[in-house]
Amino acid sequence: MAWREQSEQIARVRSAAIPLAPAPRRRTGFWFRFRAQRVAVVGSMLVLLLLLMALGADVIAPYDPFANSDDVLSPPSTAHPFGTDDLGRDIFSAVVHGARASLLVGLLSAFAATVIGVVVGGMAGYVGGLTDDGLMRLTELFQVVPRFFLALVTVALLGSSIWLIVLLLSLTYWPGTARLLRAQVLTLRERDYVLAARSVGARESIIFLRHVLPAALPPVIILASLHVGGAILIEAALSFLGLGDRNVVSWGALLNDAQQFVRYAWWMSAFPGLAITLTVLGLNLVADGLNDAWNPLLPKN
Amino acid sequence: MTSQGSFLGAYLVRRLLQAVPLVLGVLVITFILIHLAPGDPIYVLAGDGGNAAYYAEMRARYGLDRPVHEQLARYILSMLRGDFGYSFSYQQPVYQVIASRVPATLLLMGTALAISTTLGLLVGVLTATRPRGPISHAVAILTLGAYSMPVFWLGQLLIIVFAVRLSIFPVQGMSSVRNEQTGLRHILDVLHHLVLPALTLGLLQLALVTRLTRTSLREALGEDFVRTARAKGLHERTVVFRHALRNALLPVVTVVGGQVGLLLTGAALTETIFAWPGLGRLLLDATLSRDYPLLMALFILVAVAVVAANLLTDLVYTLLDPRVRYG
Repeated sequence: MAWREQSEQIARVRSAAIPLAPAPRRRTGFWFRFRAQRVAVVGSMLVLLLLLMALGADVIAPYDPFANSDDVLSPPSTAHPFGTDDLGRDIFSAVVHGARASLLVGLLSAFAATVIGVVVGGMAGYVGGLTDDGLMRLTELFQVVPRFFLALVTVALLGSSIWLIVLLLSLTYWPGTARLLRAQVLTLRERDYVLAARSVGARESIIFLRHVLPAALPPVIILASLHVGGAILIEAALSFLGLGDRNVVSWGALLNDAQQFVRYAWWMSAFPGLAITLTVLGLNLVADGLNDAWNPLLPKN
Repeated sequence: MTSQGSFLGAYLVRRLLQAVPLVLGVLVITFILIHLAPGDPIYVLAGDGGNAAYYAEMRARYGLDRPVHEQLARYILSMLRGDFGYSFSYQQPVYQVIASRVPATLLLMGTALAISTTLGLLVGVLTATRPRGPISHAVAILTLGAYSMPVFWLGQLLIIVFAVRLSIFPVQGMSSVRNEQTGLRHILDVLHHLVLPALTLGLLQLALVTRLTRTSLREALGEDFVRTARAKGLHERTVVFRHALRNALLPVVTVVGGQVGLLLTGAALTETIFAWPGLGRLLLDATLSRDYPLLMALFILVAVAVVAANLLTDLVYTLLDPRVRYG
């Protein structure tokens, strides 16, 4: 029986020696490389600012964003740093509160899309065969449906709510994630360390969850951060057309209000739009930073 | 050459066949939406301005008393025939309403696409060949900014600065309503109205093409065949434009072709801000006036356009890259 114990020990040592996805040493390297890029740090700060605004809106905003006043269409001043709108509402307070809707839609739909995409893409890539073919046809179908127009038509037919918008964006963002993860899994599942894990008798589900999925995730997370920005832009576009959820403050809806006053009140347009742009820019910069930190071999910009 | 041609023919047929289930899938999605909508689906299918006799006729045509699968089949068949129904808000068949708006949208999209692609390629080449210069850094920041900007906000800013403050360009519309012009003057008038919307729509596309060209050309410039070309003593301009750029164009074509949905979204929003009388503006009007037959027809049209654009992109790709075996 001694020989058997010995071979098991060798197998254990071997499987331990094979570099499994993110080793601790690499993680510090990752942060080092991420921090080394100034743009990524600027991006993270913008995203952090947004989070702070969304969480602390009630404390930060000096006025109730829905409260009317007699001070209508007044330009930026110390009392109203971003000015007021046609009903005398404080635009700064509205912009601060608007962070909530944007963040909710962006994060929730990107998260849901990532979960669906990982399940579908992982199954297609790892199981293969007919499962792969069927799932990929489904993915193609959802990918050709133009998401802004689908959202517009659905909201027009069923009535608007922020949850419906989140659902529609989740349903149209997952195909990109699924295709990306599938491609990753297809190359990873042929790696030697996967073969090694299989040869020591690990179950397929364990191999996938422990050894394949973690290594396949980095690009998926980059894509997810881009999806957050994209979803925020689409929610803003729907609200801009007056098709958003009327019960929440939304940056797009503020720009809709601004449209009829472009001749008289530039501040109604300038500040909410700037908030959207800086938020999406922050997310894009973070995605760029993650990309460079995870791919140290790519040429530097 | 003939065998090459027949390969291409077979490939074309196969790709067309692959597009069929996608179009059917889009129609199934719209069918489901129509039936999910609250209220009687006949108002979504036939509009809500008709009389009882009209609705009875339409109910029979769409077979609304029949089982669901038969309803689906009838719906798909009538949509495939281009029979989109009647628009009550315009008092015209839907296809006529749509056809009258196509030229304005094509003019706007064509102008924006032509300018942004040409300029994007030029700036992309410029910054890829001098990757560390101040221009490159400025362009990198500007393109990322343009990429993060909502198109409707950009439109508003341009209106505020160039139309309201400086009064160089008109605020909205496609031609001057007050003094209608003819001939050359009319053309100049339309062009004058076109500048701001084309700029608005083109900027996002410009940023996309610039970034892609830059990245892809930088990769191409590091490849062996470029070193070979340089070693042969070719002029640097020949190396960049004839050898590297030709290869660098492939990913640009793929991504730009794959982003037609984004371009159409941008066009719809741009038309709304500038009151440009195209399909995008029509889509919003159809939504606000609850003109459902028109709305559904426009959605189907957009989805089919995206499928067609993807097909076209693949074809251009195979023509540009002789290595692609139509597989």
